Amino acid sequence: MIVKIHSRCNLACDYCYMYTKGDDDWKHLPKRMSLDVANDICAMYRSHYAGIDQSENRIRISLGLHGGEPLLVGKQHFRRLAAVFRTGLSEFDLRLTVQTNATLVDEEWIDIFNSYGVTVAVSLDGPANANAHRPDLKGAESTEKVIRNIKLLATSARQFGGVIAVINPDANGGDVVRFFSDELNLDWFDLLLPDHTYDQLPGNWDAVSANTLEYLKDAFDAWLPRASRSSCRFFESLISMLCGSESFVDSLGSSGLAHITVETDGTLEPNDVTRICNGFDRKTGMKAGAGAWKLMKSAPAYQTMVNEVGALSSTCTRCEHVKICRGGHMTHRYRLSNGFDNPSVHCSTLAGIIEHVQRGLGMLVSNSLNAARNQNIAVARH
Amino acid sequence: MKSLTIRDDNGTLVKVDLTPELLKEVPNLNSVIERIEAIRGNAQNYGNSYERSPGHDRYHDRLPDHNKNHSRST
Repeated sequence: MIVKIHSRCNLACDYCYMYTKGDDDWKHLPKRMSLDVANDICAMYRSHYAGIDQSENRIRISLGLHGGEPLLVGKQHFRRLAAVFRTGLSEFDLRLTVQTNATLVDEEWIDIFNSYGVTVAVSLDGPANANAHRPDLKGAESTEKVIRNIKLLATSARQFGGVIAVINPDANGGDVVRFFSDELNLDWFDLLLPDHTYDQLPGNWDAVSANTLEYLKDAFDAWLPRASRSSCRFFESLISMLCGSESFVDSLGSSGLAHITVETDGTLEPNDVTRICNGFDRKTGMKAGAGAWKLMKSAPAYQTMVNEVGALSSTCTRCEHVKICRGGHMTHRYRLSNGFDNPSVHCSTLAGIIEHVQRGLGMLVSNSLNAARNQNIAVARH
Repeated sequence: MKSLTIRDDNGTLVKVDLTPELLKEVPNLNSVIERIEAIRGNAQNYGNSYERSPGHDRYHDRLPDHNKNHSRST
């Protein structure tokens, strides 16, 4: 579950799905989540799982604390919220995570994360040139401060998750991977396709799309030799699909609805990224509380989401790559005039990177086997 | 996982068996396969789908819910 504990941000990323895609619901939401709403979330889980025997295997619940920028709630309120969740969900195997831009992180924040067992992941698009779309509210670049705080997290946080980057088509994906793996020594990162619908594509979309594919190709070529020490979720999801298994991201191989979102006022929504789909009614009309989970899942907006994820366009169903991409992220298929009945705006990028990864793995396997064979021959000759 | 679909030099799709012998010769691929299997096993143990745990998506997508021992439990 995504728990929006703050509805505002101290960065002004020009691609943000929350603030820059025409949806202004955030303006009408409380800035921060109250303790009452946090308690309502706990009550929702407790009622949903009431009566289930957890004596041998506790139910795992994962709450992702999000914003906006979640640390804007302040240290004291964050402690209180974390305490409510830890206490109210103590019967479960609770995983608390926070996704932050890390601009506010300091030693005291890290102590809080450690005290409440919070896993921390950071949003950063790469080195300064790749991260240029993430200035602060005054337009100043944020990269240097974030990198400093990532290093602090890496050394002091007990549970530092890694970094999630949104692909900057103007940047070099190989440089981003080398930066993450070699300079920041990250053992986990992810690369996300930028959010667009057909109604909001950049004017030079063909060029942007081509650059996005080049970014991913360069990123894969840089990542594969580093795969033993750095995990990249996008590429590993793709490889998982190539093995006939499942994906771990919605932008690739999505087979269902990922999560539900709780806004700062307790409102339940099926997927917060659908706010980029202008004209799509994502509202469930439900608020967190005992019994709300079941009611929310029967809400028309939720049911529409569930049905739309797997209902691919005819273009997709005829495509050789559909078993791997499964239409990409559902919001990327949206157009006001016909809903989600389209291939992804990133269709050519997805097809291109799937083929590139297949070829790259083919070369890796072939070269490795040839090298082993030659070594064996050399050993035999000695 | 038993096999992986790749492309050969001619661009033809080929399904290769992920045998221990093969993975021994391709350590980077072996690392990736091990991680994927760990995530799958963990999801099965907890009865979760990957997508519901740890509940993140997109910019905040399913965070690596792991600790310093590199457990990648999701």
